[in-house]
Amino acid sequence: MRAQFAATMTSLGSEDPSLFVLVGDIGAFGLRHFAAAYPGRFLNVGIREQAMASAAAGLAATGFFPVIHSITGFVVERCFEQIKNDFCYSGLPGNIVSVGGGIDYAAMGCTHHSYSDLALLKSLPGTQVFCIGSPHEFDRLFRASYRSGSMNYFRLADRAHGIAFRDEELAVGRSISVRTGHELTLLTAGELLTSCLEVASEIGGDRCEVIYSPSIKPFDAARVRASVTKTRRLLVAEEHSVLGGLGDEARRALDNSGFAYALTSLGIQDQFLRDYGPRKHLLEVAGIGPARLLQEARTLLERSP
Amino acid sequence: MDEAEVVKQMRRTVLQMVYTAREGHLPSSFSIMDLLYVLYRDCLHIDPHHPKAPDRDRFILSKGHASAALYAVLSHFGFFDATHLSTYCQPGSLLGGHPDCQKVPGVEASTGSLGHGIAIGCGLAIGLRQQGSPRQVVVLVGDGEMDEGSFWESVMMAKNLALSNLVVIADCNGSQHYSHSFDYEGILRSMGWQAHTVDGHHLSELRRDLVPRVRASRTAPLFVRANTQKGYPIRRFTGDHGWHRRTPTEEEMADLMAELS
Repeated sequence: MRAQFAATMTSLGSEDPSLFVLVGDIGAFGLRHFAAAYPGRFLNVGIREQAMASAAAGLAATGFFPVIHSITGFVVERCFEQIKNDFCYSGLPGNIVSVGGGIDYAAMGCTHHSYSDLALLKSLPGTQVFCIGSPHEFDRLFRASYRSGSMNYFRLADRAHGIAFRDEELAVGRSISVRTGHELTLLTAGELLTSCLEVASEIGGDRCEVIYSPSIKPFDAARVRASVTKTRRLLVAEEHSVLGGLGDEARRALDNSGFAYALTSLGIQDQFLRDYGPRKHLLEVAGIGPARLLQEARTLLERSP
Repeated sequence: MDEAEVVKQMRRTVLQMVYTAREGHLPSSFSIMDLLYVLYRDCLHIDPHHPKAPDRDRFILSKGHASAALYAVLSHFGFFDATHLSTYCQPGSLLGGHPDCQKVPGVEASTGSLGHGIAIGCGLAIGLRQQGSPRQVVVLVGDGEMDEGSFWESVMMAKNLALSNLVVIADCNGSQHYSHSFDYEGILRSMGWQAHTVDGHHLSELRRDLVPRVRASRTAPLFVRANTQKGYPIRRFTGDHGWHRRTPTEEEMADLMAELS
């Protein structure tokens, strides 16, 4: 995924002289080809994320389309106010590409987890927010939005889900129906797609419909509504706090839908994940491991909406 | 009208704006009035009728709470009509308690949260340099603002990137509650900046000491410490933090106007 970030920057850098990439030390090595090819449009500003964010806004004010990059907590949570005032309130275009969102840095502890990033950036007026689970998604969605004039956020999962999509399926504000079914809708974003597809296979037949939504804002409310109209059961799985994430988007999509449905929203509850270990273990601790998803899916299927 | 009288008139304008609005930061505005006047009159290359022309200097008032002073100066130099001034902080006004760059002609950054202006200025300086522009970026900060970590991040970044088209002027009015007196000039010089100190209230000295230094071509970013008095020249404002965001009563207003006449 990081390789795709670098490849997309290098490729776009040759097409677009207004693309400007800034890093706060992290990612400088990965972006060395971009840096070598376009030295005037790459800066490693050092471990100074807040200054990096505001300086990127200054660059945007002179006509560049800046990209800032770091670990999620450092570039989103630490720089939230810079993003709010200097980009969003000021009406300047910008792009944030982060790595280490959710619990990708599982064993590194809570300072290196971030399960508030999507909620934070969703809440700022005019932003677009993407939770990316494959290299192809990043390339398509970044190209489609980086000059849009808004503040665009891309959370890059460490591992790709490995599912191939067609170019035209990957668009801002669109979700993808990865598997069709009739009794239960599974909604997810990022790498958890893998687990959701496993759940659907395990349950078997055409009982489960799997909707994949890398575009968190704007959100494809219509597809969720259409799917749940049919299945009347929705299981949301997200590597994010249940407060303000995908589950909340789904709930809003179903507001006033006029029919009864059963909803289970799985994500990180109102807690810090203080344990260490591999990501797989932390997913289990958070209650979004594959076994838990399967169990909750079965429970929902037994319920009549 | 001699120019001391012009600046005095601007202070009266700011006083009237704040009095009418019952909102605003008078002493912080008064300490930068002379600086702003000299910058806009003698230093910055910005066409008031084309405030977005690409070939312009960029000025950022990083201590956005002194917006009333900036509005009075921008209006004086023709960026917008003086009739807007009486709407300061009122419903529907362009002119808020902190400036909005999407509303006010001539305002480059929506400041208000301290420590942002210098970093935005670094980005503007990088962008202008990359585009081959000879223009300068001038950021006016408050000394209290220099507590912010992002200020020092930017100081180091500007040195590392040799942003010789960046100027930071510090309004050292000593107002901040817990301020300590640091040798900012020495510190900035030790960090690779050019650094000077000026009297922030002396118009002819500013013209002699500040303007040529801002306009001169340099190899490093420039820091200028402007020694000022909070609330200058109103004696009761200086050293009394109670006035930081206080508005005068009717009685006080008469006294203050008299003091400024």
